[in-house]
Amino acid sequence: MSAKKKPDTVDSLRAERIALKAELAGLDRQQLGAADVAADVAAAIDAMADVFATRLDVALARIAGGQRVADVVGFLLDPLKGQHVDAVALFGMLGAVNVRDALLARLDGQLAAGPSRAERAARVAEIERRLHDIEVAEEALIVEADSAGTPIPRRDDCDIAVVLGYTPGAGGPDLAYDDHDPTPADEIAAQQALVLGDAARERAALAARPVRSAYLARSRE
Amino acid sequence: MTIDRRKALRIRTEGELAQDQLSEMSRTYLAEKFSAAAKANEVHRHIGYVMPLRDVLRWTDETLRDRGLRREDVARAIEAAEDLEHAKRQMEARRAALEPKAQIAARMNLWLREKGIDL
Repeated sequence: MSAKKKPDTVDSLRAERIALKAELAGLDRQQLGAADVAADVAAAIDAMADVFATRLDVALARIAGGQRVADVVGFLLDPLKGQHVDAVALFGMLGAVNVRDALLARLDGQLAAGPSRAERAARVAEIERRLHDIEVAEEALIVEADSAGTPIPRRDDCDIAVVLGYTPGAGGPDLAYDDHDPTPADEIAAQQALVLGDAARERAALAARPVRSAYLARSRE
Repeated sequence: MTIDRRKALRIRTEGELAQDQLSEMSRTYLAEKFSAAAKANEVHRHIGYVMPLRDVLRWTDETLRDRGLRREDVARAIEAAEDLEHAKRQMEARRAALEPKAQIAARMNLWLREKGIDL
């Protein structure tokens, strides 16, 4: 018999959210998987080998053009730093494949097995999806509690887009009705009555504007 | 794009009310603080230096009289200090409930402005 999952509460959702946020931060700090490190090392060495090949081509062209012998060693020198043999030249002379294999052999077994980039990205996406779902579920419970007369305060870092049920789309904001002045007095009165828990005042204020009453009734559903 | 305008208006109203209450609380608390400080200062002015008011209250009537103090004034200063402590605790508790509402409303207003939404 499978255990029945307990229904979510605001507290349980908030606890899960904290745990997921911690996991997200942990993923960000966690070191790369061995395969990713090896791939990064190989890519860096390959890039240096490409730079070396270009320098060598230039030097060979100069030799073919009859330049002085001193220019022949130009490919060993960093063109930006001048008279210094740099790592590109060193790796090029030693052979990029040899350097890469030596470094990878040295790395082998030295690295803790962290998640790969792909695994990490997948987990991050999964956590972010879940965090969004939690935010939506939490807001639904807050609205429900509010309707039941037992209000639950929102987190001060709540997602405003989720709280307002924001749906991005083309065109300007669809505020369900916008044929009135921006903050009409009766609307403010209705809101204040609602906040202050004065149901009679709220009803009276809403009844004064049938269009809005219909909208507010719809938004309650 | 769509948003729940009713909820947005309510959050804004709640935030404004919370902000008003926070300001009012601060004003009241400051007034009480000045009042309590003035009472304590008055006692200390007679003594010539600062000392715990409760210790002053233990003085004999004669000592108090010599210093130009009345026992009820010292007791009143102690009471004001205690009331202030109580008000401070109450204010902290109330602030914890109000500040998130004001903050959410402020963040929401900013968000609405960024989205170009005028309620």
